[in-house]
Amino acid sequence: MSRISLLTKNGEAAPLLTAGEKEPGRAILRDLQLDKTFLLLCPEAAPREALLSVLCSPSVTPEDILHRYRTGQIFWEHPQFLDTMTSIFRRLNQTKNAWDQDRSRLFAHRRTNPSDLTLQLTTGRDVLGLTCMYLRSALAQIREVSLLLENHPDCMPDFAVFKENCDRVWRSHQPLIEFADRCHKLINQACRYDVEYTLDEELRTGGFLLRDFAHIRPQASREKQKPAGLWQMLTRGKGTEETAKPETSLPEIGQPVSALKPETQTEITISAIGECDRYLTAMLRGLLDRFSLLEDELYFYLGVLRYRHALEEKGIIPCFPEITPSETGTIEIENLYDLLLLAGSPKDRVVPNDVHLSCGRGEEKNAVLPGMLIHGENNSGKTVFLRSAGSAILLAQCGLPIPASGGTVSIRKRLYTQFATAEGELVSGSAAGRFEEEAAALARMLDEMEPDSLLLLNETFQTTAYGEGAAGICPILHYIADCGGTFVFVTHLTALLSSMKGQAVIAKTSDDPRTRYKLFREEA
Amino acid sequence: MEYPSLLWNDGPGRNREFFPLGPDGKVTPADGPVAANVLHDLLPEGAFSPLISNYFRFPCSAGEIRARQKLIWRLTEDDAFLTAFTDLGEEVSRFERLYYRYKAPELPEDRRCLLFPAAAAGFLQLARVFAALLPEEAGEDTYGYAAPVCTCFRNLLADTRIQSLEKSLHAFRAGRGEDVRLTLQNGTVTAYAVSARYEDTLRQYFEEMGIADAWPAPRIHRADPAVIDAYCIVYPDVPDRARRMVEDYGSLLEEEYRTADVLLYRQEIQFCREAALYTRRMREAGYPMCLPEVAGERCIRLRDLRDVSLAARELRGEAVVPNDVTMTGRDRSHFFYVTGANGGGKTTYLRALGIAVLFFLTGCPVSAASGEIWPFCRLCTHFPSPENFEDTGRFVDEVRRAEEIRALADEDTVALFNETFSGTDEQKSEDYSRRLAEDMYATGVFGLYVTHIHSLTHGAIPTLAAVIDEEDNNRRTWKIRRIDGTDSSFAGDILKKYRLTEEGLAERLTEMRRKGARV
Repeated sequence: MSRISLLTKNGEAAPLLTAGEKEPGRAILRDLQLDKTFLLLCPEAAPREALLSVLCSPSVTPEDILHRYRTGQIFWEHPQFLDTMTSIFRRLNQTKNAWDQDRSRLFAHRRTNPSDLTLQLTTGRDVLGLTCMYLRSALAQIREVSLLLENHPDCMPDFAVFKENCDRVWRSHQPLIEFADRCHKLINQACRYDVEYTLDEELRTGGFLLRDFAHIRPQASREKQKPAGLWQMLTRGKGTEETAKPETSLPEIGQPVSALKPETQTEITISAIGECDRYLTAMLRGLLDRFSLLEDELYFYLGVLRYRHALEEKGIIPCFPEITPSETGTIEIENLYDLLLLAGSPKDRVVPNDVHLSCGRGEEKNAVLPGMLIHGENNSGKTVFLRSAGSAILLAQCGLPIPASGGTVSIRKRLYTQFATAEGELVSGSAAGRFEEEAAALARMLDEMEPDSLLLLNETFQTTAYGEGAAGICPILHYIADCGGTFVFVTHLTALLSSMKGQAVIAKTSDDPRTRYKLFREEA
Repeated sequence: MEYPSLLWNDGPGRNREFFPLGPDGKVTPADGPVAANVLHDLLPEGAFSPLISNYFRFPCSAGEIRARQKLIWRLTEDDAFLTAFTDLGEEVSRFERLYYRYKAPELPEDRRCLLFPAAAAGFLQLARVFAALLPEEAGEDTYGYAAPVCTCFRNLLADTRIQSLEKSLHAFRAGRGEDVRLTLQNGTVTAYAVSARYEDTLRQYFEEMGIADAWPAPRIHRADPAVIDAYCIVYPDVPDRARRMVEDYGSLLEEEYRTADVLLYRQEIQFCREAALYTRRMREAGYPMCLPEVAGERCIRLRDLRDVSLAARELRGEAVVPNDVTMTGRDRSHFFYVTGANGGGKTTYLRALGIAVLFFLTGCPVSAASGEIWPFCRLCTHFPSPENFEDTGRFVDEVRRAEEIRALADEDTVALFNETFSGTDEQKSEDYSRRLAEDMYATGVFGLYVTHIHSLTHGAIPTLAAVIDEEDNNRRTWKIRRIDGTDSSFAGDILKKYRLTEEGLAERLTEMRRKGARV
């Protein structure tokens, strides 16, 4: 069953990833230091974690990315709307927890002796009443969301699908809501039970199902009762019974059944109540599950708001770059700031750079490889550039604005990072050295790589002799290009720079103190 | 009505004889010409389910072997046919369930009739599936005995009385209400027919809410008699109509068409299916499979035979060394001693031959490139017993089992002896072995006698030996060849590898003394 989502245009969530499946995404966040960045930009844990969770799986669908931009913009303009909606879905998730606890408590305290039918009947009624109470509560909360959306008509075009999903839960289901209400309040006073069953031609049954019941009304309120119909007159007990309206206007003619012993009748009642509870429990669980992602998704949008506020406080108005399909192959971002540096420093101490990446190999015989090599002095901003470019592309593809003045991002289907690890950060239990670990990790990337992937490599193959490292990485870069991928490679391998001259875009960080941390493209 | 069998050429009678059904529907297999120990000694573990394995105890005639080969091979090669055959098996199981429910003694007689329409419908559905299993023009040369079985069911369905029954069933189902509403109050129960089910209303809610996947699975179980009674009160016409159907068609189905006999197809279908699936598994494991011809004279000829039981040790067929078998009655080459190097493949060869004969006699494919085999009537094996003989002694048991084989064996028997009488001194072993082998040989029994008593191999009974490469450190080739006689088992190579020779034991002692042990 699909879950409802505010992160996709069609309103349906993507399949959930396991912790193992999320790990490559988390590794990228660590390499780009986005975990540290958002700790500074969004100190509140819930929105930060929700934000990072979404960043682990960037979208590759332009419609979904645009939908997130627009939704984020609506919440930016109507923060109270976001707060109220978050509160409702928080309560809905709490409903599930409370129901589970109450249900467990009920079963624990009422351990029934299977032969004690009276106790079984009482427990069954209590359980059904509890389920109906929480079902009513869940339906009311979802109705609350529908009404909230109706009160924000200017948001409606972007929330139309979402509202429809909410409306279909409670609209036109008044009989169910009334039945659940009666069960919650009155099942313990039931004196008559309407039960149905099916007998197939193999004389099998699917069990008894409670359709309705009548309860005893207290004597004092008799004066207010409406005139009883034939149905009520025929079945009147000590008090007055109340039931749902009969199905048809004509009285049904029933046949007395004398063969059912009293114990069997009680067993049938218990079974019918239990079966009704089973269906309504499935309904409630289904509903709660269907809406279960929304609280976290709303925290994601809250995280986006916090992020934007933090940037504004730094004097940065982030932009929404234009998102283009992967085939267009161009990534251009103007005046991009590094987020981690921005988070810890004033704006005027952070040097922005432009990003120009041509993804996809040209068709000319000697076309340059898609991507760039970056070199320069130590501490000149090479890794910062790599990090800021990777972060901007990742954020853009998750529907977040980026700290730049403008840009165009062609969607990358997969993103990979390889940042040099220090000793002791290698795979636990592995006897392989650093070079072998790097080679193994790179091999895995190449195994999984798709066309239109982006690989961010930071000082790869510097864990071996420089000449061998250069000779080893060169064919790999060509391989990446041949597979339709793009690379940004920060390197000190001067032999590689020489051999790749004319074949790849090479950029260098400035040696001039006046343009420190600026990246300049070298002529071919 | 006699239903033809899928496996036997004389109808289901042999099924009843070999696999009698008890009143509870459980099968207790009878004893057969192939003893139970043969299955234990030869049948690869897990190849067939325990009940189906019993089919190997009943060797077939030449015609039955050919028919089964055709059907099983067709199932092996044709995915769609295998699927249809599997579905047929499920229909038989379904009808079996309905049949025994109808016959259940705990059901009151006046309510039993209610189950007749379901049981009849199950039988007719089974008949339809059988009839549609093969194209009308399909013959025995392609599908073995499946062809006449399908024709039989087509004829059944063409019977006008059966067609009348189908119409009655259709009308009965169309007019049969299913849903009952009960109101329970203060010990009074009233029953009503239901036109609109509340369960359907609930299901609609689930769909409208977008949580159709959350709909819980139904819990179907047999209804209590009292519940059935309440149903009959609400729908009194249903038991009346069911009773009339029993009167009109009951004897047609039970006596004339003998519907109970159809249940015998269940294990026949299961046998064919398991044989086909096993053949597929062996082919996937690299063991070529073939259908040996039914020989016109007493012989066993097989080319590139492999022991399929090695697949259970995850040995692929390509890695197994194949061997040929040539045994003929005409030139007195029907019974052989098998000797040679330890670990040279003697038991593997014997087992490969035994499995090939066992499978051939029940119509199953064999792991060889090609061959021909006479339809022998009996297969016997004499393997070392794993049991602990505290009372009688192992040798006594060996003698007893050998005598049982001697009493039954004739020229239509294949007998395989694996190191028989090895549980005694050399002289007794030689004497008993010689007498037994020579008896077998004189009687015309086909077979092998694996032994390490090399003095036996210089007589009239021909010898096969496991070949080693003496120029390559006595490397085992796992090839079995006919020779004049052998003098050694080359056991010393194996002892050397583990330092159990005289020299090896001396080295062990030296090392232990060096370590300070007092030896």
